[in-house]
Amino acid sequence: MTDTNELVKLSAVQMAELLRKKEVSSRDLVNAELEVIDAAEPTIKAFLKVAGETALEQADAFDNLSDDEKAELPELAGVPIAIKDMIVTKGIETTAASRILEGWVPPYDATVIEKLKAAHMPLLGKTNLDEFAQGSSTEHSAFQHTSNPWDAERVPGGSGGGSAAAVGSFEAPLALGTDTGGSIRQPGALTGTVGVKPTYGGVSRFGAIAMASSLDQIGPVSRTVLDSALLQEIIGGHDKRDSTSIPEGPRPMVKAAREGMNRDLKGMKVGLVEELGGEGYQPGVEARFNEAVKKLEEMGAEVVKVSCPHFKYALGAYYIIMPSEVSSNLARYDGMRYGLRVMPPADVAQTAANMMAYTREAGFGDEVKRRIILGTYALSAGYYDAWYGSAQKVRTLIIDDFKKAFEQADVLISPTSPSTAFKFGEKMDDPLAMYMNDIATIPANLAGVPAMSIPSGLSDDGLPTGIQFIAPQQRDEVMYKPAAALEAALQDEWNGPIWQSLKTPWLDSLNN
Amino acid sequence: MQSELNVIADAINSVQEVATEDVPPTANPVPLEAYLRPDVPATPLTQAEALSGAPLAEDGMFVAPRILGEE
Repeated sequence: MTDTNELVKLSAVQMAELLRKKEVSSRDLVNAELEVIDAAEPTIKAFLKVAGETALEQADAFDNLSDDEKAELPELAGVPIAIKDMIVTKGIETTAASRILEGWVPPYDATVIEKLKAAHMPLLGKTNLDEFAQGSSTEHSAFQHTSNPWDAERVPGGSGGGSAAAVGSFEAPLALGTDTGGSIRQPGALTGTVGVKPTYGGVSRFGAIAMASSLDQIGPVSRTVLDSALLQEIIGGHDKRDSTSIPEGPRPMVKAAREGMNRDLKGMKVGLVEELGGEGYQPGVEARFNEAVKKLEEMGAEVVKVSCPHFKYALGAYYIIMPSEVSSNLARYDGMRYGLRVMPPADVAQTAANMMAYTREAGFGDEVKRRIILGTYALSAGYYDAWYGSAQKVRTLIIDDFKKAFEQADVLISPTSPSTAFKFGEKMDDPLAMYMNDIATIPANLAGVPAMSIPSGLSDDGLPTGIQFIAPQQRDEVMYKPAAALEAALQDEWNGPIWQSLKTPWLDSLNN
Repeated sequence: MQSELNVIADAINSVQEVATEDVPPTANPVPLEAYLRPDVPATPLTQAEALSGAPLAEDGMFVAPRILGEE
């Protein structure tokens, strides 16, 4: 099989199968993806940095292994992957899409990168995001706007719009993202891809550039549920370099996903979260969601309604906790040891404090500044108890809501995002409208529970919609089974994956 | 930016409605017991690696602007 066009549309599992049969090499896969990247990037702009040469070296290193050595590696060995530029990569420029880190080449790898390298998965490059992962459209990147593969005039969601667009446009079969309030799942919904936020602590955050440390989590981006399960098992597990890392190893997610593909959900209770739906949700999003619920019922699942009365306070609590932690974490960008340094003009005292002020003024964008100001205010003496303290209490109430909900249901579901992809600029002047994008995804981050988004169909506007599955803490496998079942049932109805309806002019040019 | 900040501040004031005395705060959603890592030697960054991103370095050290403002 040498047709690039066919090759890049395969799932990661299918690519791995061809590697095992020796029908393609890892180098063939990397070359095919690099061809697509060349053709697609002028429109999609998902990558901040393409690391073609090192990816080919990593591919060759895999191809040169003996069969015995290959047999010891994870199933996805040799399959290439793209990395959100929020995760540090030794020797590959890492910027968090911020001017303040422009040109920074990390001297070390994140734990997840070490694991991918140990699995011999070539790194294609670094994908675009909202600056420091702060945003829901990737428009806050200091460098470029990433387009939604479904409509170049629309955003791919955010903050991980680059990873989602890269996977959605076939520039990569897999990617890593980071999810603090929905930054993996919401772009998944808006681009018709799969995005998973694991249990907090399930995947090491060592080397993930810190945004809001009690919420951040690295997770998989893919085109199929099974691919995400395989990737999560590779990157998951304990890491002594992350003090919040869970001591137990990854859950049996691949097994659960494969079970789900049998489309038998008898005995499973699925909880519809009443608070995540209705007003504010696009009719097309709700229609596809309701059809998905029917499919789950047809496969034997019992659907019950559950109420999580404190979810309405989640957005408020999130917008206290997240900026507070952002303001603390981003204090490290002081122009001293790495990153940008801007000295004050000659008529201003050349002091360290003034250098920091000029560096941050030049290095941070508006949204990052907005959140640092909010967070500094929320943490200031006299406001701490009223804001940060109250938000931490809301967090307890939301955890209790989840506990009660999981007494009534095995897994919870909701639409992932209230709307389909919006146009560039549409929400840039209204931060609150932008924040509403994450209304359904934020509760999982506050409670540390795992959640994932998979495509639920196309809305009336022809754009993808997503459905979210939420499982109890440290039981990530519980959501993989119904997600894989629903994916199989929907693809049966559509006679193929959702991307059959995607127009890919960048691939057409590769045919010759 | 000020009016935007006010709008956000109003939105987040709502949390105080339910954050009553009897509710304990949550700092880490997945509570773990503190533990010591195994005492095994590991190789840290070399001096050259640590300095590789420095805006200004000299004699194996970071160079910082002066701290005090007086001439």
